[in-house]
Amino acid sequence: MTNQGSPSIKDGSKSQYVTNAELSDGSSPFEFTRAPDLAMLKRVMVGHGYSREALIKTGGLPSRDVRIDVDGMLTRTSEPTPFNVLARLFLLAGEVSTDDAGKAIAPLGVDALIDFGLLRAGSTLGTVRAICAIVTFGDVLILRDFEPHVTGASLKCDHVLGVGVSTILLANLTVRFGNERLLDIGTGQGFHALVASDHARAVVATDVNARALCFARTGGLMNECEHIDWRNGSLFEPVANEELFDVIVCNPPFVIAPPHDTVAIGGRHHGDDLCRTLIQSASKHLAKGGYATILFNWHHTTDEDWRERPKQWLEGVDADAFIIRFRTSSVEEYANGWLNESGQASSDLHAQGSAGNTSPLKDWLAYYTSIGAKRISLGVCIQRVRSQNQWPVISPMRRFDHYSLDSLEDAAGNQIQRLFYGEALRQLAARDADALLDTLITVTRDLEVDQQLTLTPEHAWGMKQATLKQTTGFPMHIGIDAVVMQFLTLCDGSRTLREITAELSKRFNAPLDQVVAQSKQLTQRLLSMGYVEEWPKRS
Amino acid sequence: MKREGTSEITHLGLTSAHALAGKATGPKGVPSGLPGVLSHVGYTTENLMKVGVLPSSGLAIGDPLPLWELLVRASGDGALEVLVRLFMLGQFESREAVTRALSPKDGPKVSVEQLEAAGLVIAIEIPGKIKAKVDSAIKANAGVRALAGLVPLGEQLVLRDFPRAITGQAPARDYVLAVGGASVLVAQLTPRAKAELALDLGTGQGFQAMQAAAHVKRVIATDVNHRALQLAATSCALSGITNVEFRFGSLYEPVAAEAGEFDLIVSNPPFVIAPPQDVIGYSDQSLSGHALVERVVRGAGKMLRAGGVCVLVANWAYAGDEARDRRWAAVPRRWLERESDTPCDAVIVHFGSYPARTYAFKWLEETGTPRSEISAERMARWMEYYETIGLEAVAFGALVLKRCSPGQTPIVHAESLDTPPKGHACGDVLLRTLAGVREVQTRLAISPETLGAWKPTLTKDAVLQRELVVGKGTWLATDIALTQRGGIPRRAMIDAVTADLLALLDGSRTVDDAGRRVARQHGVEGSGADAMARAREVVGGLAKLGYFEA
Repeated sequence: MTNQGSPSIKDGSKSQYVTNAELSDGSSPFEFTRAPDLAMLKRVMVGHGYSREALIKTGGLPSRDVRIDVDGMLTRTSEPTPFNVLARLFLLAGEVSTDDAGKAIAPLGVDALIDFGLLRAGSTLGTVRAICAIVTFGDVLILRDFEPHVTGASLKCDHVLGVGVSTILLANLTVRFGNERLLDIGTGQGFHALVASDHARAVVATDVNARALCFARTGGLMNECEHIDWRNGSLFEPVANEELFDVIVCNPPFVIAPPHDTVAIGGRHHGDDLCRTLIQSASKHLAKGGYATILFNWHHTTDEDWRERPKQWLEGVDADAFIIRFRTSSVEEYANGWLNESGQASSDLHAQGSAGNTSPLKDWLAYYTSIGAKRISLGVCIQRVRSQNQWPVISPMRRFDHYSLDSLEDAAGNQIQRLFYGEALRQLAARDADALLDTLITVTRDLEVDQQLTLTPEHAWGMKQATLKQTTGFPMHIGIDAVVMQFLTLCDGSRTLREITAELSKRFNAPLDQVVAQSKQLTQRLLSMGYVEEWPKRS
Repeated sequence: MKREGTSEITHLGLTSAHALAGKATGPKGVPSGLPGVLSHVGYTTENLMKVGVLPSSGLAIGDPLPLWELLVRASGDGALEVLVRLFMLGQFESREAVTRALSPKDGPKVSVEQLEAAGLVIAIEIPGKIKAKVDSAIKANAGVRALAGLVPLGEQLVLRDFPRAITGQAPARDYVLAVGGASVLVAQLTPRAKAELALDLGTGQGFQAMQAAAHVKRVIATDVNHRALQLAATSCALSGITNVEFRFGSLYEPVAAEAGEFDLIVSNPPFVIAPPQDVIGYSDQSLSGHALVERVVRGAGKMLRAGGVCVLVANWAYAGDEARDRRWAAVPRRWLERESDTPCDAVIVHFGSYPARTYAFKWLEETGTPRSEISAERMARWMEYYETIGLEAVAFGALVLKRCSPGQTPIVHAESLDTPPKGHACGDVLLRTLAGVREVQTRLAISPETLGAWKPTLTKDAVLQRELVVGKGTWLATDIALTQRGGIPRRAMIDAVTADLLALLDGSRTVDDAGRRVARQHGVEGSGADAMARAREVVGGLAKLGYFEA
């Protein structure tokens, strides 16, 4: 899943945590007691070729993070084919004739969808319009609000955002065991819950925005996702005193902005308090061996090490933690980026946000000065609660890495698990030198060697360099030689490191103690870069 | 290097295009202490990238960041920050701060007055009328401003005009461009063999001439822009380069006396095809369409000695059937055919073609024209111009020409590269390509057996790239690609047999012999004739890509 996110506002701007009375007045846009066969609706739409790829082809959905070309798209979809009618209804917020709509959604009836609340009568007689957009990601259909630039209306406080860059990022950073209990905090349009329901045994998805939960729940029905428990409430409140979770994911509204500046970007929380609260609370809800993945923003001064603030937050947190920083911006760049890129949304916000007549940028910068922020970073905090018997805790892991957003190749969940295991084993080895030698070593099959050969003086191909790589996850490249290549072929889980070194010493006719020393060092390195799979000790 | 018609600097805050020439005393006046001071305070490519005022490529391409962001990055009172604001960002700095920055403790020193005398900076001038009334403290504190940007590029210091993003003003007629992507491309495509005499045609800020000066004894750099010549000469002086001679004039006119003597001609001409009076600096103002580039190409043969090489980047227009069938090489082929007295072998490299409208928009954007000025009317004017000159598509490419020896029939090799070369020199590879094409063509003209009897040597810069995965306790190659060390992104997928065949070609055995031998080693089925035919095919193909020693 390397797709760019939906158009609209940038990373992770969501509205779940706004305690605006309008948000949770309990009125649902949908009449679930009168829900039609929504799974059928999905089949009909897919049957008419309604897919992300087709919409991009029609020029409707931009493939990059830019705005929909509404006028161009309306022209290109003027012929009332079922696909065009669906695109006009569910992407362009257009009004279509009831007859055309009926043909596009048959065998479902227009009336049934009006009763349910998804469609409404249009402004002229004999037309209908949709109350929200439906977009596709792979096999999943997602309901979200139309963007302000599509409808021309201003952003409502309970606006439901689409699948953005940060949504996809979080999905790629999620650890997936299969058969897990998963918690999605601030689910919004429900993407993570819907994707996880495919392999999780139970999913709890929470949001403070009741409207978002209605959209997500409808998405669940359309995609036939079962065992998702949608709960209204803030942060961990809806799961207090609940059975623990194996996986927690959270893409919070992490934007650091002046209070009340916007409902869609950040919210009532001061500075990066929301992110701190989430990071400090998550592990209490994790089962042994469970992972929590939380995207977050944090601020720091120019001189302060970027690691410092999250490191302080984690003091006293009883879990291993791995923090990855993706980028750091000056507050000027950050504020300017948000104010520019949120476009319509932000211009609405300026009107609400700035009490005086000062420019919004000035307001934002003044706010950063008041909280002592000079730079703001985007990153992810991944935590794991160790299972004592399997991975004894010696000291909690605190690892800080930096990767650019583009360097992430597909899903990193398996690599992340290997990195946590690697750290635990390294700690064990640091205490007990034999522990490592007695471990069965399995290198991941998700690896590849890129080799360069050049001509030797004898005019034969000789290895010049070889780089070991993982094909998915973060780039963890190691330059290796022919001996290491032999070593790696022996790490198939059938031999302990002791047996591997004995074999290598034989093959290369090298002194055993030397091979052992070097192999230990190499294994440590492979562990710290996530090359080694967890493998039970041979009894 | 005298400049006619200098004008006064009339108000502050303006980088007058004429100011430097008016004030400067020429290279002789260059303050010899400045390079030492700059290096002492760390005004280097590496540090400026660290500060974030030079893109990581080291080049000022388009300067995509807004000025305020750059100013944030270079805020502070340190010597480096002050000089960055002065020389990279075109800001006024107080005389006092600049003086301090230019006289670091325990380091070399240079005075603001010396820079003023050299025309590198200019002081705020307080009009005579009020001069008497001004506080002496203000006089002492008055600011200075640089009259051109000074960019460290590796070992060299290159002067060029401040980009539009900084001055906020449309470029003047004698605007001097920064070292950009096209400049670097020319530098990469240029063979760097030791030589006697080189020409940099349309030198601009002098970058190509400065590169050539490192391996050519004597370099002549020409331009029709006096100010460019002035800046380039000053850059050479600041960089300690003494073997470049600057001449004013158009095309080959200033070097008519040296016709037939050049070992090397390099040129990054103003190749953008645009209506007259638009995109100053990028587009030639006197010739229409691609006429300028055509003249450079057609005139090169007469200027080069036999075996001499000419490298240039170019845009050329094409239309009709040629545009429809994407025959991007047809136009430069015609230029070359017309040249009969002094023929050249040629490599035509194509990096991509654009439809007229896309091309117009791309260049308006790349020349730093603000979006607000890319109006419908302006686009219409460009499109109208394109219609007049019969342009439907534009190719972006480069040409490497090599003057033929007497009696040789010229050959042309055309190649389209999806991605432009990067990072490394590739001129030698292109020359090897020409030699390979000539060798194979000559031999095949006689018979296939003649090709089979060739004893080629695989070049030392050939690289085999293999992707391996673990399978059944051993490593298996999933992909084998033949590439070249060097910047040309040529990549041929081959198999293990071909890889071994290539290793056998060390100049001691024939193509046929190597073909038979490798077939035996690998137990390949078929007759010896098959093996030889296959080897000839492989060698014939790879020779055209410069894989064999010339």
